Amino acid sequence: MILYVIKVLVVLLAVTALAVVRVRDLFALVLLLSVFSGLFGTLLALMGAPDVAFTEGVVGSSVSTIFFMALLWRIDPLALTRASVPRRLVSWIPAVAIGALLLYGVDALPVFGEPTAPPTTYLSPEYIDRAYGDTRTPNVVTAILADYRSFDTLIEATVVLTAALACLLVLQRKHDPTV
Amino acid sequence: MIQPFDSLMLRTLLGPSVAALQLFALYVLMHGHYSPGGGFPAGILLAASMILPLLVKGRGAAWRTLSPRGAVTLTAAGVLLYALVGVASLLLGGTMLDYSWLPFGDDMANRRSLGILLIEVGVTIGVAGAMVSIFYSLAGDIGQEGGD
Amino acid sequence: MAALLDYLVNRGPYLLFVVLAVLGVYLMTSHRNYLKAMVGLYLFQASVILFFVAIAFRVDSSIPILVPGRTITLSNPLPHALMLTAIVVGVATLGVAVAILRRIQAETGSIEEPRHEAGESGR
Repeated sequence: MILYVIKVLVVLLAVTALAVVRVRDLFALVLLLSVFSGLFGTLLALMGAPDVAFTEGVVGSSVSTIFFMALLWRIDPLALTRASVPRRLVSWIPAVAIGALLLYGVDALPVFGEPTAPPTTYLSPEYIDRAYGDTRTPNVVTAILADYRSFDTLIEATVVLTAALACLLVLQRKHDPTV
Repeated sequence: MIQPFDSLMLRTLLGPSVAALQLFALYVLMHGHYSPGGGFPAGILLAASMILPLLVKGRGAAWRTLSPRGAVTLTAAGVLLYALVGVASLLLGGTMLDYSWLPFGDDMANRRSLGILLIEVGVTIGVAGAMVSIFYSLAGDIGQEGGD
Repeated sequence: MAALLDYLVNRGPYLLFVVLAVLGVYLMTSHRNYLKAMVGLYLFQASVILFFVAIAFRVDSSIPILVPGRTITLSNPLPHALMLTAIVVGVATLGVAVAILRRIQAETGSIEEPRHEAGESGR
């Protein structure tokens, strides 16, 4: 049953991505990205990743859309000129080349959902067995993210701080005396 | 600041929305141990609850939320809390970010659980401050004349 | 034909990953509008996240939360943790990219690539 719904969502996501490529109005593009993020979050949740789905849904529907809308405030949403036809045709070449390489790699992967695949059997059973005894945390993803792999999370928080500072540097605001 | 998009419906819904967002952010943070969630969605929900009054009420709401300088300070404070927990473990005898050396809790597993909670609070504060700060940078001049 | 359908059914999300990556690269290289190129980068990033979560899936499994008395197999939690980091870093990078686009728009007046007088074929 879940596999059936996953297939339907895969088709919907592909259609939304095609619409994102073809759309000419920037305002509609931002709304389509919101739709894409919602469908993507649902697909991730059905594939057994509720933490990732939660974060993707929250991020895609709130801050990502707000950032795009802040850009669209000063731009006419319909002022989108098309590239010339030779450029559009030529830019399919790297895309199709990358697609062919990825398909060649996908062919060698195990079947979707295989229980004996190497990612599922290598290190994760050890994490799942030891998570509650070591950290008293039933959520294994939080235990991995905050305890076993906490260096990555520390550097990620630093990256978020650096992004905030970079935005301040790029868009130097005059000092506003009323805030 | 942002030009307010004012309407009766938005002004009525603003209060309950902000309250629900902040309560939900606190719930997701505290229950990150037991259910999906953790620090990152909680931080972004908190940021959304701080950006929403600015969008609805404009400049008048600024004193109730965060100033731009306060947003950057909040981000830095969150990352500093995370790093300080790690350095505290280092100074108390263990390796960095090894929560079993923290000075509270009775059992090693409980100490690690409390350490996880502390760094999740740090991550929440950091991410919330960063999102509000980026929003101020991007949209802070909308509605002013000659803002760019 | 049956082999092709069997292939599609067994590897659906992996094919979606390839389709999203192809569309993302096409958007990045073909559009003169910088916003659409950035959206191409966003699509490419979404495809990578999908790939990592798809290789962590196993059939008849449930979410990776340990509840006492629960006997169902759990899905692989390690790629989920990596992808959480990837999503948050992606939104931070998106904020910086939008900031740079706003600065470009303030300095030059539009977010499109400047067109040469001799046309695009003279590169």
